[in-house]
Amino acid sequence: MDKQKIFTTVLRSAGFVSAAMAVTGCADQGYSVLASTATMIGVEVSQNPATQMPQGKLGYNRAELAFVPTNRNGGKQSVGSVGAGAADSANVLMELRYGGIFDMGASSGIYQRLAVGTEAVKQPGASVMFAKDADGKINQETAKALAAVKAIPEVKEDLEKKKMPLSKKYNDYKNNKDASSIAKYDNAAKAVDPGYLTFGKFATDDQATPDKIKAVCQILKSQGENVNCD
Amino acid sequence: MTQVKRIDLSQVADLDSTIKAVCENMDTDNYKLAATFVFQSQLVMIFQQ
Repeated sequence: MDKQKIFTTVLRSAGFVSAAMAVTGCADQGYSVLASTATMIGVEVSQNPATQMPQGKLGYNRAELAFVPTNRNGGKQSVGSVGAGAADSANVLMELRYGGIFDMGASSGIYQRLAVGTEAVKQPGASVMFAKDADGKINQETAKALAAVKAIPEVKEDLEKKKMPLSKKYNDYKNNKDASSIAKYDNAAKAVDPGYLTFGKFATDDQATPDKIKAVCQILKSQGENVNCD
Repeated sequence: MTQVKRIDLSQVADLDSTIKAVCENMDTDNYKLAATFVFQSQLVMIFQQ
């Protein structure tokens, strides 16, 4: 058996062992999320037998496979799922950096950063980890930029979505130049907080509380607007 | 006039509808989305009146 055949045999054996482990070790597991990445690098220098000219080939091969278990245990009607089922899949944040096959400098090589789980992905530590450069350091400019960006008011998803139906109607009235309806919305915002000179000042305010949003909505509803204030 | 908003991409559940909601709300005061960029896990949106 030549070296190539021995290598192939070993590789196949390793594959069978891995497959067997995957089947037996995860036999009790339900549905999984399958994540995989692959990259290739290789170098071949040889002489072309036809032209006698030297030739070179470059490539890189890398494979990665991950089974992320979920709480889902069947189809939509399954009674075996736990908690929220597939919605409980772990959040994954991953960064893979490769300097390139011609990179011989300080940035050469490969590194990977990985955060798994809802808390790991959300916590500030994950942001810091991903802010580091290839050497694992945060340079001063990056730190300053990160601090500056964090100082910008963060959008509150739920509040923006609560204001949106009102804003959509208001914008429709503006587009149709419906002055009386526009005034109705402006007055509703002003009634809840005199600081809101127009409905627009209320809708663009990051500090508008859920109570204020509901109050504006209820005033408009009491005046005949077809809005849902729940 | 310029206003800047930030969405933490690791916190938001539905990015598409959140961006639409922010743009609709900002439009009530005549702010239009002028530019966006992503820094780390933060989406920064720049609105101009």
